Amino acid sequence: MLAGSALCYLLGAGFSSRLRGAVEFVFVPLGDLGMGAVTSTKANAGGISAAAENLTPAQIQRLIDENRLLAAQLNAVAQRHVELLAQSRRMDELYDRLDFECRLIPARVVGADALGYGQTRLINAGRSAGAAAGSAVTTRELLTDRAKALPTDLAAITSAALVGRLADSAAFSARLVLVTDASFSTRAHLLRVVKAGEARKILVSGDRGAAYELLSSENNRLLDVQAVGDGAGGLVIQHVSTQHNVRPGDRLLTRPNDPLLPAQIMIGTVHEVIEAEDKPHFVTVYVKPEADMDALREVYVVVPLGRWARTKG
Amino acid sequence: MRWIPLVILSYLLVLCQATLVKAITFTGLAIGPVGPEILAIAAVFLALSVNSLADAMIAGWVLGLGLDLAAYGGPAMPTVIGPMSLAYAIGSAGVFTVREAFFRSRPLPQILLALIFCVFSHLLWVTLQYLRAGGQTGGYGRLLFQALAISAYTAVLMPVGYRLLSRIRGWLMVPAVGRSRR
Repeated sequence: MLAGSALCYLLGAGFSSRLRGAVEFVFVPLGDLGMGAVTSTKANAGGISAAAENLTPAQIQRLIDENRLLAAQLNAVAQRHVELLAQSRRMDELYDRLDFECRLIPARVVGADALGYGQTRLINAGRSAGAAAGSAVTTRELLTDRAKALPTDLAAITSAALVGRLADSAAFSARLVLVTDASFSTRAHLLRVVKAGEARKILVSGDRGAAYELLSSENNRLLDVQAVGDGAGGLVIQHVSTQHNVRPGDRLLTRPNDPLLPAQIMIGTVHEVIEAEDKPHFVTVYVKPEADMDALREVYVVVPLGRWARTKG
Repeated sequence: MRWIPLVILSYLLVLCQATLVKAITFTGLAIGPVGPEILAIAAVFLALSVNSLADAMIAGWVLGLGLDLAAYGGPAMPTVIGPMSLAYAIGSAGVFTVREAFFRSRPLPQILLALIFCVFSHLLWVTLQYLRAGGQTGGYGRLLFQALAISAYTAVLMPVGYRLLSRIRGWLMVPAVGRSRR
């Protein structure tokens, strides 16, 4: 018995993954019920504050509904802003940002990590559904622009957010590693949000050397950064130069030339910027994920098709 | 010890640990999510209740294996199976060995034993997984603090879990004949 444990330990992660993949399907049916109860509790609890003690249940429900509607509208406006910026930079991009051929595999979160050291979720879509290890996973919120004519097999992911990637895929289930997990790392774009009435100076290099300019739509270049999960509910971006003047409220987006997800969607929002202790003129940026990981339930596994499909070999 | 009910209990507890327990888990903390570990509560209960050391170790091993199978993330990604079942078996043996020195039905000894059991098993798990990852991943200190917090939370809930599991003691165990012996 003890020797068996030691043997499993020595056989390593590959054997452990295969063993987990063989047994995880037994957790899927009942896990679905449990996670449904938990995520609905977390989703409702997030919308009620201490001030709600003096409100009637009907008022509370109305506030929750209004909050959801406003959040969705805000997401749509923010995404439209990103789309407009993308149009002005189309000549510099390798791939189209908005519309790429893909298959969206709907899945549901049916379990979390049993221990709190990992930020992973078990979903009920596996190899049999086409979900492969490495695939990007997004939230399943669809807000479409009714004026757009959508191609048959393309969904408008205008308010979706990246939640992670599949680390492992068994026959009927897969393990999703969230963006907040310490092992998650991705190249991303940092978008500085230009707010009306806010004066933000950035250092811009030109023909006549570098000079400070006010941040505007014309000089607002997307910053190429490396974002890493912190294992505690957020992401961290190290060694960002102070000359870029990143501030809370700026947005972290996926890169449109990522072969696994060639579209620009939200990852999170900057909530804190702290000067790096070991490196002067650099800051550490802390990002809060866009998706509510505690209430995560319905997701899409994104499988690129056509010219964006990964080649084997 | 009745082994089939134990396996069924282990399955249900792992299911609850991976789903329902998240409702009472604190998230957003700097050290990471902190939630109770109900399998540890069951392991300590069984170690305090069974008739033989072998039963305690096997029960602990089964519960630990269930936790190993359902715990994917950690210092190594994916984590390897084996450390928690090993830790639970050894921890259960330890609890069984010292149980005669405590009033098992009192909350304070239950909390103390659960705390020591959890601290031992989690520290062992974190350290073995960290070594498996080649020590390359950072945050070992944070993981240790997280392990202590999880252990404390679990220990606080131990008396509640003990009372609930006492109700199904007859389903899990064959009654002891005569006085219990070490």
